[in-house]
Amino acid sequence: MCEECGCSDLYNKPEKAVESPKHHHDHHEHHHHNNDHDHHHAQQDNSHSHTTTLEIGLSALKKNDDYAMRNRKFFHERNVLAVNLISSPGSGKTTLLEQMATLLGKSMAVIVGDIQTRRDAQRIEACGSPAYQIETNGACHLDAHSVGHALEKLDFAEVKICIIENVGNLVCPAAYDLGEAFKVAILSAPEGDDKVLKYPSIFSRASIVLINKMDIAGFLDFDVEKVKKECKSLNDQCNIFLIAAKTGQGVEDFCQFLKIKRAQKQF
Amino acid sequence: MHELSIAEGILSAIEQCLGGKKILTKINLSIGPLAGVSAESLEFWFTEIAKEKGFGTPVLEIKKTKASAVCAQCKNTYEVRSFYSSCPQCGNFERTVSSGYECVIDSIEMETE
Repeated sequence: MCEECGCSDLYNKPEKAVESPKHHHDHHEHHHHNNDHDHHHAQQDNSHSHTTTLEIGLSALKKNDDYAMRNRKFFHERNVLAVNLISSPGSGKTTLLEQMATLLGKSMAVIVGDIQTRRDAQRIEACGSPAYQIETNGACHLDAHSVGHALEKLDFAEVKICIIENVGNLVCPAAYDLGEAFKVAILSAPEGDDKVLKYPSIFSRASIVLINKMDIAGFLDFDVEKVKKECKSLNDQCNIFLIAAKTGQGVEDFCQFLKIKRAQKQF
Repeated sequence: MHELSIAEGILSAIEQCLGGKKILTKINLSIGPLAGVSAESLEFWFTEIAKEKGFGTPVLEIKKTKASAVCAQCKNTYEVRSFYSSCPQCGNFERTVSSGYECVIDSIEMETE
């Protein structure tokens, strides 16, 4: 049972979860009531109380990280390579996935995050891959909990590669582990060649950077070498692919790279 | 928006740890320079969210920690102040970052009788 909404078999209650929250809560509410009624007694209350410090030592994103570990286990058990695809809006994420869907068909599943509409999932399904849309209703990134629920909605019997298309945003999604094998960032030529250093949190964490819309880069002031150099300066391990999602240029190479990573069990 | 969900994450990690909600007076947090979290924005949001979620009105005390990296070229260990810090010894950008991405709840304080 999922602790948030109780609708999943995938999630077990966390080890230390809420043993008797009602009891605790009631206690506090009583305490509050007393204070509200007798303001002049507040001093008396204070004389009985003292401050206790508790060491915690947990990540602020622990809850997300716990769910991410469950998702990672899910992928591992099914021998699925999962990728977290992050870019700004309009950089060509869905166009790339349409091309990949025609190449990979039912061996690829896509989880799509958008603030509103099911448009992207419909586009990908039309090209031959199963897709599930998460509508975040305002949230600027996907979290591991919502991805975990999306995983239950898809049939993974034939799936080898799972792409999680994050909400179009170069900032917030970078901080949230979804259980993926690695992050892939897309930068498209029209966005400008200065974006790598402007958004370092994603470009320093992405294992792969896809430079998209190379078919029109010649018409723009876009210095590919500068982008490559700056990507390497933030993460010298990063792999860079030059692609044009619209024409399909470089997409096969990227798919091949993912297949190799899966064969090497790098998830 | 991002700091809002970080604030919620902090509170739910604390709730999980305590086994329920408690009235808190202070939360000590450490943030690394590469965490991508704005301390100012988080402080701005935090107390309001804690109040709304039933944790009293705790103060958020943020300690900004330092990041370190090892230069890929000359193997010098140095402090990374931002994503763009290069090795002060040889000027090289390539490095292995060993810390700085963390956002950790160190301790919490609460009133007890």
